[in-house]
Amino acid sequence: MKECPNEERIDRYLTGRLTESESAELEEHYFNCSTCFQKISERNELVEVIRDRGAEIFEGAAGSPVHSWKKAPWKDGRDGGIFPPDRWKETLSKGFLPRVSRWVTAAAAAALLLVAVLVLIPKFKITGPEFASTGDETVRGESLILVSPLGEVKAGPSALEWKPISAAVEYRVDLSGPETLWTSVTPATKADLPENMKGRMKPGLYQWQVKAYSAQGILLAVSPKVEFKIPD
Amino acid sequence: MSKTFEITGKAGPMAIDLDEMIRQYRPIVGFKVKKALGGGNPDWEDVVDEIMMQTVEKIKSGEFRGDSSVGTFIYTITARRIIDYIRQKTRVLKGAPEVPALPDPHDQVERNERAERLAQAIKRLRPKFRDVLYLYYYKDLSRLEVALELGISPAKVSERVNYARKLLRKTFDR
Repeated sequence: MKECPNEERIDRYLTGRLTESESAELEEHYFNCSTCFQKISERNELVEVIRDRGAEIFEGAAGSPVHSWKKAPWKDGRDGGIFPPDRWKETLSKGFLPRVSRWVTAAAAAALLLVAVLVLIPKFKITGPEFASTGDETVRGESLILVSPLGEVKAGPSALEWKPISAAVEYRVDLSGPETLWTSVTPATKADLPENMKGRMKPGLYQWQVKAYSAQGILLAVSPKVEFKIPD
Repeated sequence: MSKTFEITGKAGPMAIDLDEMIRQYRPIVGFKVKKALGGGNPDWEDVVDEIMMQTVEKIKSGEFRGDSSVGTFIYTITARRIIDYIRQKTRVLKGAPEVPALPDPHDQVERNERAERLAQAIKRLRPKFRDVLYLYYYKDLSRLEVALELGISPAKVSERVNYARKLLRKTFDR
């Protein structure tokens, strides 16, 4: 990479959204560009603080968004849930600034806030803040390391394997390839690929990524996207 | 006394001051290693030391011939050492209990103070900036997903993220 990466690419690198080869390209760049290294290390500090202490920061701040977004109706109860196709179409066709719907959204948000104040907040007082009781800073700083498959493999793998991290009770695995897409949620540190899936894995480049969640459904760690290749 | 090595590379002769090279690249190698192994991994500083020693040895032995930049040369050594470390650890630790992660003793206090200041500064941000940081960095949504969630354009999301960062930087400059 000869040109300096833009802001979005830096963010995608720091949040593990670049592929392995894209990350390597960016890393080689900042080994040669002190300005970019300065910018990336400074940005990383912000990302790490938010990831490690986000629960405390956003829970504690006035007008905290934690509870209202956590229960967004189109989510599958998990961070980064999938938007239904009609919502994408609808929003894209209307453009991003439908003024009327913004007022409706604001009114709905106000109503939700009222419900939160009257119904939810007293409940939280009784049970106590869920994040504070699990606040182990070193746990949230852990890295999720993928073990296999990596690099070039002889044939379609029978399973995907990674190293455990403490406090994680559930892992979400995403695998994508030339013609396949597979997701699985498991409490183990290994996900067996279904039999019919193994037969479908054609030669080509595949990517996979694992996200770790705590018992409360809090995202603890995201692995980098790792590639492996099934040769012709 | 600093040691300078003369190298005749593709782009002509090049002089490498080893002390200066270590001073310049150690933080960059440290950043990459910590990112790959996790800052809580007690081995990260040893791995960085090994990489810097390996780099110096390779330059002294003439293995670095100036075919690439020094940065690219050190990056290649770093990437290989990290892969070796992970493979080695995977072999040793497979089935064995996980070693608990220890805090870095050297700059822990300073890092904690900076993190605390940053956390407080984020809390003080106006909700429209804080919400974007929350969804983008904490909830791990993409720019497009944040845009859909907030009913604003992806460009506006970028604008707010950048402005929030600018505001936070100001708290450190004060």
